[in-house]
Amino acid sequence: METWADVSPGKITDTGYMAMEILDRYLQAVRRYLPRRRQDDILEELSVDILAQMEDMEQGLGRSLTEEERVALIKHYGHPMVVATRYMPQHQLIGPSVFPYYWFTLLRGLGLAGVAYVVANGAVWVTGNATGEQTVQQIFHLPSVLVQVAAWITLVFAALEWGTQKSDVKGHLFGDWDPRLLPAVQKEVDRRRWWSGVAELISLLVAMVWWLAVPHFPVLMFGPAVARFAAWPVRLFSGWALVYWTMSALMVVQVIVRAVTLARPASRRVSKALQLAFKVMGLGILAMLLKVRDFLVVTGGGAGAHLETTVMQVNHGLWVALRIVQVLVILDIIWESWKLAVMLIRPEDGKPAGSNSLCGLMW
Amino acid sequence: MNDNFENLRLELRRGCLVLAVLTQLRVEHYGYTLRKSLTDRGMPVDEGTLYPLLRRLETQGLLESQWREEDKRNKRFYRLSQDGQVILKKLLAEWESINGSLERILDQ
Repeated sequence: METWADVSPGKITDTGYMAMEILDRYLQAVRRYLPRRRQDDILEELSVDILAQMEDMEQGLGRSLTEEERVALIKHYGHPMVVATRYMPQHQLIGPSVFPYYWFTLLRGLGLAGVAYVVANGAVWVTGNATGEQTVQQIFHLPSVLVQVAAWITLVFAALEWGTQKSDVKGHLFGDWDPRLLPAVQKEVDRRRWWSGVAELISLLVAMVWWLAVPHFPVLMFGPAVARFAAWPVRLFSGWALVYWTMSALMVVQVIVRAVTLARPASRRVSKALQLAFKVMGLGILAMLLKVRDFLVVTGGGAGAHLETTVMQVNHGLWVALRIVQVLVILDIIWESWKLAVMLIRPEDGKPAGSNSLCGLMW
Repeated sequence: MNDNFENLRLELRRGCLVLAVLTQLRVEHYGYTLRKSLTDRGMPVDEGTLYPLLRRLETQGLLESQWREEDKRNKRFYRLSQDGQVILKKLLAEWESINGSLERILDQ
């Protein structure tokens, strides 16, 4: 009986089939996926093992193996790619010690990238610098942007995994850490407060979009009367651009901070302090506006006395309105400052007041 | 339920495999005979698992290997290195300790 022990490469069996062919084909397939330096070494070992198994089976059966039995044995060994991969030094792109940091960074990175993309393209849209077709294209471009961000983050962490395997820093990625430096225990976020925060963020977004759209679509501010105003020979005061863009910047910052505090709820003190800070900045912008008495300026000669009187009345009305708003805002700031001061004096969660840093609470 | 049990069973066996392999390699073996020896002693191991493991242990300096011709074939024989013997001794002590702890836990 001819067995695998008698087989040598190239020998033709009674069936006219190259006896080693199926094994050679299998080993050739495994070779394609093996590291180049160790191919011959590994394949020789695999070949010896598979042949030894075949011999064993033939001795047990007392006859030569059929082709189906040889195929079944090789198939049991495993797919060539799977077998070869087990010889790779790095079996995973991102290992278990690095994965938690990767996942954390990926989720936050995608979130930030998405928000930044929407805000940036939203600004282009509301300023009228994009056509409808371009806007639709930008919307459908968002997934590919997110995929690119994910790919870069994955690449960086795969390199970090490779680096930690080469060096000895595995398990020491965060080094020594002190539990005492962790943020204080916070009460479970009130669901109603969270939804209220979401509503506030949406309102801020809508207000920001409206504010950015008004110069291009004045009807959003003046309604149907805009057609009448357009005919007037008046313009806004010369420093209007500075006020407008300062206000825009403040709105954008508010939206971002609100989004971040929604994602990572901060303590009530921190939220109050931030709200107060924004109100003070708003008060600063109001003060800038109130220095201007003539918000609307009549241009060109030939404007009638009636128009000039109307413009004077509008300016005065605006000034008074802004003054009232200023007083209300000042009162509001005083009241919120008082509440914040009381909060700061009173201990939060049993800890001495002021012991929680802004960064620790925010992050 | 069966899948859960299988996964946990494999994890348990995987944890003991290195110790079983190092113990068997106090005597020289090549891959096939090592696998048979482990299977005969109730520790069957996939060839796809064993060979890469042997390579890894050799890279870590715990095993030494040598190609030799036997029965008209070139075979790679493995045995414990000096470092491997030291590590095996420590692992066996660790195993005894774990075994003892587990017995006390199971007795409760």
